[in-house]
Amino acid sequence: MAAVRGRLSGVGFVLPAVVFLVLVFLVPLVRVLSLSLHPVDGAGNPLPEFSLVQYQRVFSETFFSQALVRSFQTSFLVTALCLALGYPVAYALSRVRTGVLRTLMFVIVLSPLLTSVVVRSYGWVVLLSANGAVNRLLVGTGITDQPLPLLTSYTAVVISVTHVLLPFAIIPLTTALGGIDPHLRRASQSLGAGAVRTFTRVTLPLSLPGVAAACMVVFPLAMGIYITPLLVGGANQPLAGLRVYSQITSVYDYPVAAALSLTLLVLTLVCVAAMGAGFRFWERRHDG
Amino acid sequence: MAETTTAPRVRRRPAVARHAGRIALGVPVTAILLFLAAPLVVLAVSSLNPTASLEFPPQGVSLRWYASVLSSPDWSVSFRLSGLLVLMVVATTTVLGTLAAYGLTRGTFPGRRLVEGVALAPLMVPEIIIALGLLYYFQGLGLLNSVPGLWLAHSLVALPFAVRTIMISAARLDPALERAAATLGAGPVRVFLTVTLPLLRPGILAGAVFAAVTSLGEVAVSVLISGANTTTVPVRVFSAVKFELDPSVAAVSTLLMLASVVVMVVVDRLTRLTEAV
Amino acid sequence: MSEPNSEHIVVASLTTAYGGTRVLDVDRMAIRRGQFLSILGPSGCGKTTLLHALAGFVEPDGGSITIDGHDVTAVPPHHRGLGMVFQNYALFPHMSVADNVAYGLRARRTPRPERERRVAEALDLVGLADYARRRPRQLSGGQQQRVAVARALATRPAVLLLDEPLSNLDAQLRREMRVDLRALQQRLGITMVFVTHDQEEAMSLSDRIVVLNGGRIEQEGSPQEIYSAPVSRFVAEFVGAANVIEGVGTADGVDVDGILVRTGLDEEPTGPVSLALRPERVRVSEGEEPLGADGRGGVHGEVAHRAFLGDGWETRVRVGEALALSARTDTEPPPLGARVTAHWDAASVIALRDAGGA
Repeated sequence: MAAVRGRLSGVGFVLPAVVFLVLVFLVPLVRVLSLSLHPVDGAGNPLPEFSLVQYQRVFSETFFSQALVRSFQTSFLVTALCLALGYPVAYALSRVRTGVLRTLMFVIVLSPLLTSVVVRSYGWVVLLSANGAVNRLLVGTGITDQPLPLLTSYTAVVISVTHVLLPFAIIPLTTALGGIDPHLRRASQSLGAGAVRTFTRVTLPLSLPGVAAACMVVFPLAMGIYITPLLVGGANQPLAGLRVYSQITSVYDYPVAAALSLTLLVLTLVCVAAMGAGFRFWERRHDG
Repeated sequence: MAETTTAPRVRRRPAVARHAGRIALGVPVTAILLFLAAPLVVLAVSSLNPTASLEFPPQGVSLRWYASVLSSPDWSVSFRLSGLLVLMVVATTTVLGTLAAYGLTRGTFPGRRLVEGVALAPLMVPEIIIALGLLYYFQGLGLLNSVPGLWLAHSLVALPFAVRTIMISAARLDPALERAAATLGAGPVRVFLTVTLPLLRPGILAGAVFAAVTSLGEVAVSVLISGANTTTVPVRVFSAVKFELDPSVAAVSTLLMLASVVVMVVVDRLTRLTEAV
Repeated sequence: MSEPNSEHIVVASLTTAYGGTRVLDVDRMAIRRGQFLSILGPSGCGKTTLLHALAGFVEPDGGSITIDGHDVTAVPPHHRGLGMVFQNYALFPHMSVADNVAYGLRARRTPRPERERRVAEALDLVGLADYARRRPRQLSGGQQQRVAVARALATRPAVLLLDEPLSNLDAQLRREMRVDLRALQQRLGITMVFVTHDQEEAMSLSDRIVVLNGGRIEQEGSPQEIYSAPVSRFVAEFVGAANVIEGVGTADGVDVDGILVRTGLDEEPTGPVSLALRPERVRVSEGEEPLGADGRGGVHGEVAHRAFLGDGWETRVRVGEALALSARTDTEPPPLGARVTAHWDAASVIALRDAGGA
């Protein structure tokens, strides 16, 4: 095989980052894995022998298993909502190509990403609190007599998590929709197709890679998120990320926290892989 | 093929029907955009509340909470710490990220895909695991409640963003330019410094912005590895939300938002400036 | 060692393969000092690979490249001291024209006064002295190409390699730049290796042409030699248009699927035969004239197609199912469908070597 010279192998370039990642990312992950394989004594200290008891706990105790199931359900719900809300915005962005309106839309979509998740969550706390804007509106217009305890409800958690993750869905959707050749729309119209048909037969199928990308970004983030549910809904909710956090900070039981978090990770990766495979299968079927 | 089969439709649809599409799109999109902006706007507005409550709309406008926060010793320490971390993190992630992105795009070593996966993996892994991992790991190394510990953690979280952004720039780089430089007698190092890096600048700056903004806002990992002496702004906000209920937290949140915007604008100006030269 | 006309570059037994397919297989190619050599061939024939091997970007699997007697096969590109002009010019977008041209001099750490003098000289050479401060994106395609040439020449290389540098220009500009490029080369006495797929370009510019096909040299020679004495059907058809007559030789002419074509040669060839005729050597006369006159070949047929091309007429004479001949004439040919005689002088017949179905 002819070698192409003047082309570096590249190893030297990636080496610093690889060393960094091994030391700061992979090694801690491996240690979490090993941590999850130890039982604890009464005081919560890890014992030297190996066992799968922590994983048994994760699957048998409803406190944990229910949290995993709930996280799974919530993530699906949030992903679906992000797609439903994000697609129209991305579509609008792909149609408005220039001007103040486009800049304004971009600023509104991107500015949440610029702000810390704790700030965004706090914003919802303020919005949904007893004398926050929403309750003021409900009481003021007479829909309810008393302010509703919107915080600590599941709905509030879903809404706030959707809000936090929505920009992550909009960006790949916008990229995909923006990448569709604008002439295709005109071609479709010149062949007699109306707006709806053009959308369902041309735009939507071609935007599918963007939909896939959005799902594969939002879903893992939703599975692992804990700051927002904690601030908006309280620490006792049955969500996996939250349970891991409370096991670490209140119960100090690191091994079970490790087992739960690794189970969460594996579950997330399996789901993402399944999504990826599903989308590829769909694409291949339609490529004919 | 003597006859044409489709005659043009001559009836002109009424104005409402013609604009129906735009209305059908515009109304929901506006609602969604309002939804996106609402919490941030509410926070910013609430921070101007003259009284120690978060009622909305506020009964007046006052900057007292900003004054109190900016003169508070606790908050000042946090501001300085967050600022220091931003500088440190941007430095490490841009250097590591630029080298890695270039190596991944141009390199021909086996296992490139694997390395790329590892570089982007922190994005896929739930933050709570990274937090637990670093907590346990730093415990043994004495890096808990330390600036170097936070620096490492923030760099880890920010690195995938930087790598991804710079890889986009690197992919657009025309290899013929580097070859041309070689034919003119420039060795590999000179080529990298005088041709490659300048042309990667837009991507590097964008990566720097992502890294800076990520570090400024990082809380999920920091919460578990910081301590009394190393409380960054987001971490302090996190504790404050649970315990304090006056608008000073809203004021800090707004300041944090503004800081991110300033970083973005400054870097954007720099990019335009350097492109015009 | 450096006398004019000595062998400057020698490529010997050069082979490269990509993923199992052979891309280059050059037995020997020698370029003389001060010569303008074109490497001509269709896309995918390996000409760019050959040029990149000369430059040092491709490490061959076997063989050697010698420049001025030194084996440079293992020498990296930035040490070979060659100049190169790329197809899309590859001007550094983040530098001004002057900085682009100065790049090679900076790499050699040429002191500033000398460097500035050489930059001005190079820009003068291509007529762009006033454009020193501009950016590449502010220049037209032709101007960018000239800057690319100036940049490569600023370091005064002994050899200039050019990878289809005129392909991205429109036809008119291409013709102008051809003249300028040749004039520049002769003025500087520099050895130029020029890669192109355009045979007209190769013929008008070169001292010598190497025709490449499938990685192998099909023929090498001066433009006249290549045109008037192509050795194979490929060369005959690639360089200029050609009528190719393939069949079996008999006493009365060449039998092409039942049709007898008199070649006009003193002795009709025997056995399998492959001949070429340039269209401009074929004349078309109305009616079926008697064939067999000395020194003239011919065949009867029917006008199947005629077109006025501005500088002449193109006629296609259908002789039979297996054969049609193209003719280029000044005068208007007979109308469509007319029975005609296509005829030529014996001297116009070119014998190709791949008789026998090659």
